[in-house]
Amino acid sequence: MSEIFERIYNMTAISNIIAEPQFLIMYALAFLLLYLGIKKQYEPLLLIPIAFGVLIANFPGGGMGVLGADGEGLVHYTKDGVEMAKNVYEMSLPEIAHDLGIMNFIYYALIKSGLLPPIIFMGVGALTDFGPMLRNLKLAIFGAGAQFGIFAVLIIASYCGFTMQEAGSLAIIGGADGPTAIFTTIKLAPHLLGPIAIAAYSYMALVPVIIPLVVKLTCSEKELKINMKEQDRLYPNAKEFKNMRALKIIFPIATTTVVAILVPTAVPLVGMLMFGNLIKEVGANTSRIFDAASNAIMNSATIFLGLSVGATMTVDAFLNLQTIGIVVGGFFAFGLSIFGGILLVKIFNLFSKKKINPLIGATGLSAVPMASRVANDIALKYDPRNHVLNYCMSSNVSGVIGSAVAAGILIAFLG
Amino acid sequence: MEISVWTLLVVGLGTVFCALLLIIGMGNLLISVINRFFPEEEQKAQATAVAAVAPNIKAAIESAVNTITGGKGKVESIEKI
Repeated sequence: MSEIFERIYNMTAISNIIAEPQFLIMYALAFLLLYLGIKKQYEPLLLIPIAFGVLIANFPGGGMGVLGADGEGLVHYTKDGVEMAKNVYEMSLPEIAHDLGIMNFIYYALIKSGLLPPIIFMGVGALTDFGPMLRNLKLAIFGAGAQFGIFAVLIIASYCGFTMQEAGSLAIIGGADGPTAIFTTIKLAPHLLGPIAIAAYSYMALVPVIIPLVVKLTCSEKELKINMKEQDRLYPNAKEFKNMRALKIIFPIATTTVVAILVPTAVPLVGMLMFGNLIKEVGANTSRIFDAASNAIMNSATIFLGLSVGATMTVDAFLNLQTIGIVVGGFFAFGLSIFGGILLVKIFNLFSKKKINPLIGATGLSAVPMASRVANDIALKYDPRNHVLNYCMSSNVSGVIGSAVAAGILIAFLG
Repeated sequence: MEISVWTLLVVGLGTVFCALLLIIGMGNLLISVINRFFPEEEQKAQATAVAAVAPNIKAAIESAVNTITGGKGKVESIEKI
């Protein structure tokens, strides 16, 4: 009788949790992320799948945790009580599913292959309107200034003991773009995918806190009161648009070509972003594939990406000093990127009669469209007539292209 | 040859600036070319948009303004911000 109870006890996860109580920390993390996603509504579409992935990956015996391959591609696991070590890249997908479980199947087939981030970028492109950027093209340059944090943190992290590849993956958090961060990490330091994805999405969710903080520390009240509409009246934009629809159709094609020639490694991201945008702008003739890209495909990709990225956060992968370094470094990358955009606006204002509100630099960060909404709220607080949303969207959208280009550069030089 | 992080900072930021400057330049060029050679469609679209605003949307906005201001408010123009 006692043998049966012992077997039941061993069958449950309780024995493992008692043996390794650090699992409880992972549950606490999962519950915290679930709380932020459900109750606080911080990026719920991503935080909830990621958090649930963390939760189910950390039940011992569940087989839902993603097993990371070592430098030689070996994964270590137990099958029928026997310790095994196999090169995961030589295993067939059915074998991965059978031996390592379905979460590893999803991870190696969809994430590790680099498939899902570009697919999500296609959906993002289908949901993005380049109109505000085309109407305020000059402001798009501030999307470049806001990539400063990426390269600054690359330097800091490389001096803190991270390898160049790990430093590059950590630094890309400053691009404030989840799929870009995941894509770069898969290419450069796949063993850090879990903590980097969590840090990237958590900081993106905290944009309403981080942008006001950096703005408060770096901008004066006078600068924040710069009214963009008044500046436009004083120094009008000579450009008129006689055929916006044609412009919006040609723009993604031309941008892909320019980026592909300059940084070919950025094409999986920028190319898919622009493809998604093209099928949106063509209109009725491509409405069916636009609908698929922006709804069914994007939503399915988000589910699989979120769950499997969360499932990489196992006890061994998360509870170490490197993760703390990533969380701290990611915050600096984020903050420095916002500061980089603001700094560029300040330099621009020194030499130009037409003044720019520094909030437009702060939104060069990506995190579309939340960064723009937050910046608009700040501007309205200082001047209730100052609507900067459309101006911010210009640097915000160009920031997406800028961070994808920065990712391409990191992959080209460090991959 | 291993590249230093400082070189990567210069090359990386430089390339990002270059890419966005090229996109801005290309965008300006596209605007000029389209304005010059394919201007008609937008004018038609604008005309349609103006016409579309007039009957139903204008009536809805006027009715909303009437309700909120108790008949004191008056709609002089409707403009898309």
